[in-house]
Amino acid sequence: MEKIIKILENKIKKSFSKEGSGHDIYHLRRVLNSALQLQKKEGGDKLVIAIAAFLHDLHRIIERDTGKFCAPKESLPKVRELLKDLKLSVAQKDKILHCIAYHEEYGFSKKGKTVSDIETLIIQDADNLDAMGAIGIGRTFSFSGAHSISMWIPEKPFKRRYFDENKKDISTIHHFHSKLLKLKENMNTKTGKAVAKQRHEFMERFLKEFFSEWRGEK
Amino acid sequence: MTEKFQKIKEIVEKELNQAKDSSHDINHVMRVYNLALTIARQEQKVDLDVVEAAALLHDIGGAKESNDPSGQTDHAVIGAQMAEPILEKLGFSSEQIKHVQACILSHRYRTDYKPETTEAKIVHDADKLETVGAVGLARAFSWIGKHDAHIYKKVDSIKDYAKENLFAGKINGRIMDKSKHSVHINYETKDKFLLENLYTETAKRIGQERLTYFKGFLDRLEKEVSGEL
Repeated sequence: MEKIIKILENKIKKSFSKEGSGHDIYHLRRVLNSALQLQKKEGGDKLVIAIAAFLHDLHRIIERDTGKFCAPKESLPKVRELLKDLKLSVAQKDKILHCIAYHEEYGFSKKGKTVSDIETLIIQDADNLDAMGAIGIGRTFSFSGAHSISMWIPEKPFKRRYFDENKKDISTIHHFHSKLLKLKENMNTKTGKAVAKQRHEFMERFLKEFFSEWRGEK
Repeated sequence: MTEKFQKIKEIVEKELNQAKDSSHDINHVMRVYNLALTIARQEQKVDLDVVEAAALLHDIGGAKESNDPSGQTDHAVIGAQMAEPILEKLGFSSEQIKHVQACILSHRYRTDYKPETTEAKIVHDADKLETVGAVGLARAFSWIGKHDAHIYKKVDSIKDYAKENLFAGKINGRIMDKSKHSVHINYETKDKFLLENLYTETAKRIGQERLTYFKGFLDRLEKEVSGEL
């Protein structure tokens, strides 16, 4: 399996090198690692999960290169091309494509969730986990730094009801409220939920610390 | 905050809006201001007017420095000059104005001006504490994103890293290629020595707490990244 990932890495490495939105090759590696950990406990086709985890964000590259919004589904031709020479059954390839097409579903968005196969559920969980905990905090502030977004604008209330991936949050702290703090409710598997709980609590402690420092209390 | 200081805040905010730098914006200034007051309450015989004015004005030269492509502008030096007419207009005594200017000059790391008075030490320390704790982490990761550096990266040898990427191979040397840097590396080369550079006891205590939080965060990050769930 590691050999297949290495082959794929060599093919996609270059296009992910200046990704700029926090979905770089390291993100793919982390999601792959977490997905495999989840697979150990939750089951599912290991190879399908590994490949889907590693190729799940190609739509972001298309989006960057075209400057236009690109849904995960629109990346499937590119994924098919990458899978062409790999020794996989037709059923496995279809599963991988399905995982990638549906990896970005949020229970707290208007549309909600639609999938039920374990492989996609695991990819969704692993992807969510990378936006939580210390790594989630690091990624979101890094994103804000790259795009000159304020850390926090205390005067503006947190008011958005539904999460919308296409709407930008006015500050990093607002992003915690519109998305990161909601991810815990968006987990599918038992193992994923347990890890998410810990990462969620870590984020809450961080915010508590952040606000008391912000006020100069300690 | 009294009217006098509200007025200074407005002037500083307007000036800092001339440059887009989220780690030295008005929010940074206000955090330093609040923290300076927290520290000042623990110190004896402090001229609070000087602390308040200096904390608000310490980065007023920031936009001028970042908008000067030649790199010749030092925001502490120009900031001290800019502070004078503002304070004169608000009725500060010439002695207080000189004192505030000295605080502004000496807040900067690695300059020839060292903080001499309690007031200058307080402002200096409050500013330095911004590099650690949760706010320090937020600022550090913003820097990472801005310079396309690593969210997570550790090196086997800090010495080798210094040789390769820090000016003159020194551990406190200027970073040459920012994209090769990371928060873990910055902790090993700079942040962990923070307490040595603080003057007041209160700041040292706060610094120790914030540093512990900072390090705990980095340890956790390392575990998460290695796939340990």
